[in-house]
Amino acid sequence: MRLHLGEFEEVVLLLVAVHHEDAYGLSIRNSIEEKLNRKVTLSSVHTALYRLEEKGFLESEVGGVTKERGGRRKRLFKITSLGKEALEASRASRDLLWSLIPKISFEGL
Amino acid sequence: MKQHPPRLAQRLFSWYCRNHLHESILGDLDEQFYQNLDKYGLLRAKWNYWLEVLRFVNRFTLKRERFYKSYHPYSYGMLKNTIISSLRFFRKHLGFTTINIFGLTLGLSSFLLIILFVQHEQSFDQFHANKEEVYRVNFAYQDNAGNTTALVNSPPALAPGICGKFPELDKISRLRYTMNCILAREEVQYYESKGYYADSLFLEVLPFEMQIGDPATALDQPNSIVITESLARKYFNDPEPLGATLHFNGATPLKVTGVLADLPSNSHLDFDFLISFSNYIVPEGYASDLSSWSWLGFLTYVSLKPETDPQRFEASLTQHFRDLNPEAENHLLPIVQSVPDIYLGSSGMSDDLASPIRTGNRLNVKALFLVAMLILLIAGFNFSNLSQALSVNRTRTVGVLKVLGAEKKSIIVQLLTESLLLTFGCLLLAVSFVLLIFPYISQYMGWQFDLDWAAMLGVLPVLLLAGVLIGILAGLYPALRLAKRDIMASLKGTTSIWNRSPFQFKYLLLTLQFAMSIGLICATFVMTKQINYLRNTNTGYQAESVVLIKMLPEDMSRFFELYKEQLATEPSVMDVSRSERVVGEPWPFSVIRKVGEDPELSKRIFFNQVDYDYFATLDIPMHSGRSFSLDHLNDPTQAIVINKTAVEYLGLEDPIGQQVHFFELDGPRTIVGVVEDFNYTSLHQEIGPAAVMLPFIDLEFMYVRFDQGQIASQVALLEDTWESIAGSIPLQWSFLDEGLADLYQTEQKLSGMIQFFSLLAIVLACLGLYGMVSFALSQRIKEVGLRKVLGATHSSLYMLFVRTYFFQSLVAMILVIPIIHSLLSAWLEDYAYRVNIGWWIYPAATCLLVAMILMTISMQIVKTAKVNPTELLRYE
Repeated sequence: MRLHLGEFEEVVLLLVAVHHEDAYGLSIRNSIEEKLNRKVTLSSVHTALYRLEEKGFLESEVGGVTKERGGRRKRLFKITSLGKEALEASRASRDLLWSLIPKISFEGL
Repeated sequence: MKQHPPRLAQRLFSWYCRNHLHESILGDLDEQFYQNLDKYGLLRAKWNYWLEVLRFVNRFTLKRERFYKSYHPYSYGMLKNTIISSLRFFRKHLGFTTINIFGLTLGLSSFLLIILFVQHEQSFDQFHANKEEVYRVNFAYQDNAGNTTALVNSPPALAPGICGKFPELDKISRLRYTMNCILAREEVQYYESKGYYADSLFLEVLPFEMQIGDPATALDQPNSIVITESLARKYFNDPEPLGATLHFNGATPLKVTGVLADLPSNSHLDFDFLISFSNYIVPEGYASDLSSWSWLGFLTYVSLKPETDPQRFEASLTQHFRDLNPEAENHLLPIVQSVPDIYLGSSGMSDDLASPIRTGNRLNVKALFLVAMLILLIAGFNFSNLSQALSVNRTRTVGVLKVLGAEKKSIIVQLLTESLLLTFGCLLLAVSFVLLIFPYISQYMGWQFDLDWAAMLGVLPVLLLAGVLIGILAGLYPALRLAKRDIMASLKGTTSIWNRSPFQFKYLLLTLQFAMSIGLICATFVMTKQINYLRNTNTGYQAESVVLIKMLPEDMSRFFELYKEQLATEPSVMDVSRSERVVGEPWPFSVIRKVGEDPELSKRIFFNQVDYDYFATLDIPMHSGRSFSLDHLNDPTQAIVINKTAVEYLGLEDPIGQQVHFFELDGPRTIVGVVEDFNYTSLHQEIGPAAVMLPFIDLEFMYVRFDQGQIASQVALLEDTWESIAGSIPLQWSFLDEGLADLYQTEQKLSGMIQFFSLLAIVLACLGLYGMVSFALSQRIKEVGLRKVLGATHSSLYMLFVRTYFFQSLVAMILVIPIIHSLLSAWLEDYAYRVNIGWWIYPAATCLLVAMILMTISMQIVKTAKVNPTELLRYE
């Protein structure tokens, strides 16, 4: 299994973990907008979620009806252990690279 | 008013996204909309909604999948489920299902049987590898008055005469019928009537399968004979008697140079042996020899070079004949007929030699095919009707299926699968049934072919197609109706899903079925009438109490006088005579003219050579004048007797004593008597102008008239007397009337089949009706109860149910009259002597049908009508 994550994918995956028990398309989009101050469309978030689910990093179930949704259920996402591994791998590779940067590189910046 | 997300956008999304994501995405979209509404206002929120909907188009949303897990309709589980639920349904409605299966199986079996027969009829001579290139040369003879006779025969000089003269001609070969002859191996001797003298090329022109021997050389040498395997077994008890000797007509020894496989039952030629053509000697007394271009007494087969147009060959042959004999142009017209066309395409032609050629009738084959299609249609309609009626009971099942999440498509597929399974079950039953009964049926019908796998395989595509069509057509309509029905109405199941308009589909089917039944009843009527007419029409002669004896011409001339003399002393023997042609067989023809007339004015006349007492023996009355008599010494060479038709034909005022030239070469003959018209051939043909004269060649047929009533007990004396004068030469005799009955064998066979299958069709129609009515009654049982409570009488209830069928029968009759009338007229056209169809048969047939209908349904209706209404109303 390819554990590689794209940048946007990683963000979405992290946010699913952040929104424990309430991770669904709109909540994640709102978080991205509020917390990261990035403009994203709902559809791109959804697409990323489905792609991650396809890869096995997420699993989903339906539930959580509210009035604003017209009685429609949410698709709630949950991170899987594979997703966790992917996040950890991504983080480790980043840490590794950080640790390898010689101090001189950032001097004067 | 509360703001709502743009409905059109929602619908657009719902239109393209139809999977499990639909609900949650639309929820998210709506939720976002209300967020945006608070933040940015309505316009922006709507605009954003639209944009999102458009952006959501991707592979995840477009993927078509079901809300629930759905199985493929032909996956193992679904198929099993379909079969189980179908079987349960069948068990629940066992009676109707049995009727349905029985009807369809019967229909399909009959269809299969007829198609097998039709296939055999159409397979004639298709087995020759070179069938595309082989032709038979027939001739049409036209006299100066324009009378044309088409014959399958050709002159003997044709084959040697044109061989090598036409570039398109590949091989050419003649046959000459051996007539009745005796083949003998030492003491084993039999009369054989299926043989030809054949040119050496014959087995190359028509390559019949040869077991041993070389087809190219087997008939090259004089005194060679090629026999079939069964003849080899008959004489030698050995399938390979190569080089053995058979004696022909008690004299010529013939060497067996080849053994043919028995000729297939679908060959128009039907011979047991072929003798080298060089053994053929023209009998003494014949006016022609082998160099004749006008003696139509042979069969000529040619194989043309591939890609040759037979029309062009025919044209060049015609030209050849014109060049040959310029003054007699148009008298003999060659007709080139392709060999596969011979069997069905020769019904208008006669064989001058009455040799063993099988002929069929294209019209009969077509008629039977039509009957087969009708039966299939009737069976299909029945099946469809009953399936449709039964499907009413399925509404609730379908309702439940829908509640459980079945889609329209899967319901349609399931119902169609059920219908197809049932049809194919019936198909299997029908095939096994046909395999089982074929020997009996073919014996009853007089079919002369065996059922082999090749034949079965040949009809398989048609059968499968029929099965699929019936299955789909019968299943589709109810399936569509049921699948489209509203769930709630299906579950309540109270109102009928079929409306009651008289123009309903099933009433249409029933009317068509009635029409077919009426048509078939009419056909049976007319055919039976025609055949009885043929059998009972006064032929002008008496065939009862007459024994026909066939012998070799040599034996006839040696023993006849003595035999006649001895038989005449027996008190039970009334008269004895002989002739060249037996009654029932076509007579040869020649030309005749009055003495003093221009030979160009010669007219065609049929003739026969007969002996003294001929008219007495066959009990043919004289019209005027006298018969041949021993008292007049000049009779053998100078007397002629003509029939009444010939008197008018020749335009004779006072025929007795007039002089005519018969046969041109002959001297003048005096008309000594005029005989009443009698039907010397079959009733297919009109009585033509005919003449008889005392024999100038050796004859073959002898008649003995016995005292009426004594024939059965006295025939033994024929054999005893014969043995005392002719020793070991076998005697071959038969009753004349029995032989004559064979003339109408084709008709009898056809009529037998039509009768049988008409009966079947009517049984099928009644069966279907029975099912329909039982069903209709069970559906309308409450109505019957209510009507009774409101005071309906038994008879009014009876009429209520019956009147529709009266009406339909009437419509059916009107529909069917023009079609069946033209078909029957075409069939009758084939007969020179035929019955009138008579308009009364249509109402009569309809009445018969109505009677059958009433018989079928009355019991049920009366039974229902008699029940206490409280019980009927308690139905629920």
